Amino acid sequence: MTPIPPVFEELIRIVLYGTLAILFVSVNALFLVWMERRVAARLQLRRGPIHVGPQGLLQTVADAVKLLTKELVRPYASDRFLYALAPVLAFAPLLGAFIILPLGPGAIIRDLNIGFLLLFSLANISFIGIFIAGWSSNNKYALLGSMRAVAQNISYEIPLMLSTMGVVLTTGTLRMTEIVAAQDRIWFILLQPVAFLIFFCASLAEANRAPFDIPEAESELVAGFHTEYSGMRFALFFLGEYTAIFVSSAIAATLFLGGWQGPLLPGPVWLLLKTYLLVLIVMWIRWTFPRLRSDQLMAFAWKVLIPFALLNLLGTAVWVSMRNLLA
Amino acid sequence: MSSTLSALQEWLLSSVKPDEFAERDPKTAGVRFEALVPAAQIVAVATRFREAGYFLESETAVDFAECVELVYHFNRWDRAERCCVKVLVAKDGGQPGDGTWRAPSLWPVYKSADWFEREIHEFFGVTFTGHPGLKRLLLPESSTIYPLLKSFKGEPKGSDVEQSLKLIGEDAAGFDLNRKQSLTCKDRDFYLNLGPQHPSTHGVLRVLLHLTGERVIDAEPIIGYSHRHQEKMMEIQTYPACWPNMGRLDYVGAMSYNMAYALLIERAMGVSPSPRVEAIRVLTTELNRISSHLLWMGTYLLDLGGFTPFFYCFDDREKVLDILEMATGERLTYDYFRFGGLDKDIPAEMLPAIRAFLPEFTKHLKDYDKLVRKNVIFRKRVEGLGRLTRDTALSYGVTGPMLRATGVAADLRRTEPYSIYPQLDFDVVTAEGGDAYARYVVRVREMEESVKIVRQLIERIPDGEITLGKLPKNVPKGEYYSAVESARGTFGMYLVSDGTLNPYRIKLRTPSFSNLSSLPALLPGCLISDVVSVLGSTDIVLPEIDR
Amino acid sequence: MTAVVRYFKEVFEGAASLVTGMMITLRYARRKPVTVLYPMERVPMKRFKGPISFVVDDKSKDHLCIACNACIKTCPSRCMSLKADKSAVDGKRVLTDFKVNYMLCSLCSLCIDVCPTDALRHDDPNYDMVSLTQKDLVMDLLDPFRQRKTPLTQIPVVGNAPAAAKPAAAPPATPPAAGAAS
Repeated sequence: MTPIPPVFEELIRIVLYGTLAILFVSVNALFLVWMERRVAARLQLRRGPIHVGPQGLLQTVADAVKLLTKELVRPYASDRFLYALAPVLAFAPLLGAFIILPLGPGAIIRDLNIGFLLLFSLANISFIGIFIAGWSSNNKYALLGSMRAVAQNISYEIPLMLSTMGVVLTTGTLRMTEIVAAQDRIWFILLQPVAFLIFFCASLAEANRAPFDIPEAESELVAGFHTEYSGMRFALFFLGEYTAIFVSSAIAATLFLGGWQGPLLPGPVWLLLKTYLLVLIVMWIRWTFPRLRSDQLMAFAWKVLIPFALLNLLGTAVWVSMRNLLA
Repeated sequence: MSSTLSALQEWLLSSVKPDEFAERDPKTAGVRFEALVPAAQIVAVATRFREAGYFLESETAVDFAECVELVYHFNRWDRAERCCVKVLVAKDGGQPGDGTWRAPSLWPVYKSADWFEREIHEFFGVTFTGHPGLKRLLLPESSTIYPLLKSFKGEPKGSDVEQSLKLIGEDAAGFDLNRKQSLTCKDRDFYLNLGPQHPSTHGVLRVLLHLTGERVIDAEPIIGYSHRHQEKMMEIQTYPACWPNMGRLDYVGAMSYNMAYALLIERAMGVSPSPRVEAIRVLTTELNRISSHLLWMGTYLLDLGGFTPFFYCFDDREKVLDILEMATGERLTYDYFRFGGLDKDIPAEMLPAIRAFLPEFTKHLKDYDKLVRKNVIFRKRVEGLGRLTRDTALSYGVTGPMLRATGVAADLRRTEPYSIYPQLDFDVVTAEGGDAYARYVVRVREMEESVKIVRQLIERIPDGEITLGKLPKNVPKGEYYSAVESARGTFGMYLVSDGTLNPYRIKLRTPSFSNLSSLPALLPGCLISDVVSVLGSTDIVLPEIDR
Repeated sequence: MTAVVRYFKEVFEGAASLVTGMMITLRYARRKPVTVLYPMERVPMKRFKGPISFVVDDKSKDHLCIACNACIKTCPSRCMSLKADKSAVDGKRVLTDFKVNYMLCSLCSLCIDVCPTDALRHDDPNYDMVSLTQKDLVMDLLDPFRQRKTPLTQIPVVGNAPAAAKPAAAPPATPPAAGAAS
């Protein structure tokens, strides 16, 4: 048996991992939507979906089938190419996050030395997708929504990065596996609680979640940037939103909650458990608070998150250099 | 009679020299005096009233054979001193809407006259000189009818196809208009139609926003999408047949509107219901006020993006509706009062149900206070927003919780007491600031006051008949005005009776109408998010505005 | 310095208010759902205004309508109609047809109030009445009585009935002279 040429091997890997990632993302989004509806119902004295399938689990599958079979309506005055491109652009980059997510010891697609820097750059592409969606729809509400999205993304990128820098300073690496390994005795949430809170808030904003969901604020902008989208194109935005929540929670779990580390259970299970716990908190927050206004959102990023992140970074730097001096 | 009013009256009699002047009994007619002044003098009269602290409560018209009579009602916030001033507009062979029927506009004195006069213009064809823009308010732009003239005998019939084509044409015309506006405005500005299809306009309201970026430069509310012409409907009905209309004006707090109509006709007929009826009326009205404020609170938080409090409020509201359903058999469009009585007596299980509900509800109110009022996001979203000054409120005729949020203790239940309110212990809630936060506080505390009233009433509902038996079918000839404090403000009904079985003219002075007309004064400088927030805080019910 | 203190105070108080809010929703999450699984569960209704129907007299098991037209006159929605004929037996008015258009009915109970013989009532709680055709919602109130062949529906009638009292549509009011109303 001749060995497979490395190019083909790489191709096979790409196809295999890509398929697996898409499969996981789709099933995960279906589950998260169901979970969101049940959590919301629980908080709101309702029952949520209970009829289709056991505990209503298949309700979201039925909804997905409905969305798949719906007609794709395109506004007459929209930009045909960009309008079709936007949902893909908003969703696809999020799949890239799975490249660097360590599921267990050694279970990582590519253990890159630039780690989550890659992740942030990929996540930003999806905001370009959102902006294009609002722009190409040729709808005033959609345009307002997409402009809000861009402003929000640019502002919240900074505290997001600054808060992770604390972790990077402590471990001295951007490699995800090494960050997880550094947490074998103590989780970084205990060493860096402020950084965790800032990361959590900023990732809520990056994922367009309430109370920071101003780009789609349905009571103000009807549906924001995806006002004009229907059928599967709308579903892609939806899928993207839930994937973003999952990814940001998974990254938070990896950076601050010890990632795959935990007793008894296998690594991926621990990671999933921690991630879903964070997702649950995200949902709990969404269904409790009113929404911020766009200018207040900016004020929160620049006047609260960034100063605190800088203070935290300074403190960490002092602590790390003290430690290095003493060691 | 206060010294202000006697001074005013003296001035009126000596300098204006009204053509007719008559003092009235406020207990039956609802007004202190009526004066018929020359048309040229009305602006001077109104200016004098405004300087003396009166607001323009209502402005309407009545059609007669040779003239159209304009009727102005002025009233005060601090005490009930409603005065009626009239102006005759001679017809002189002219046609409605052709500009020959003229009267001076009160717009320079009272901003509330803007909408009142547009309404009179489209229903009676009277032209007001000095009005900034006499366009259609409630009817479609293309309509050519003047429905409240007695000569109006229904719209000329066309086929359905013609009708729909006509409407399509109107839509296209409206679209072109807006596109032109968009094209002519400066680079960075644009126009946004918030509504009529929008999740947060609380019905079919359209607000034309002139924006720069997200900031509002100018706003114009456009109404009339749910106009049914209740006033004309009531004119062609018998008196009892108007009852269903009262439930469908403000369907969120319909009991107060039932109350106003009952008061109007009972005062006119000179009958008064038994104490039991009065107690049950106030009980149901106050419960309805709670449910109305709960609905407002829930939807307002929904406007701000808070989903969950909406469900909590609706849960409590459902319980109030359950209680009201026990008595009325209806959950929304109550049609419960009758002249001199009620439709049915309350059932035995109603009072225990209220007793069980009240403590639970007070507990929930405390939770909502912590969940909502103390929430930092909520406070940041509403504090200092949509600030209404007293002067603006006077000019626009704003009443109800919106007015009380500016610190004015104006509540008809105290200033012009009706039913058994004088015997009850409750406070008129006020708050300082006049912003959306103050309005929130006023409404929540009003719920607490209503709970207080209900608590007092369930302990002492007297026995008595719930009906007065057969009453005459017509109302004695004359003019009557009744006003109640609804959940949204002063609801007034003005009746001109000619002694027949049908009302000659009924004017419905609805509170949201005047409250909404103040929107252009509140919105400039806000962001789009705030537009929704300010609009929500005014607590409007569109069918009540459009009537 | 005070500005800095105020800034930190504001941030921490804000955060505390958020945590309080979350605790309240968590507490409410422990409450039972209040929704009713209609149509599997149904709420009993005591006083519910169902569609207008005839009262069935306890003794005669028949309707009580004397075709006096009082309800037709008072109905604000003009949703009722009745026909009466002259009895071939004793010449009295006999009800031959009574229809209510439920689509127009505003359920105001005014017809029940004015009925001199208390022949009308709201039907039993029937809050899930649906229909695929508009025709189904025009209700023939006499139909159940005809099917049971009650005595009043079996009276033979002659063709021309005494004219029913005309609805009291008041003639348009002659406008009084200007200012006469004041």
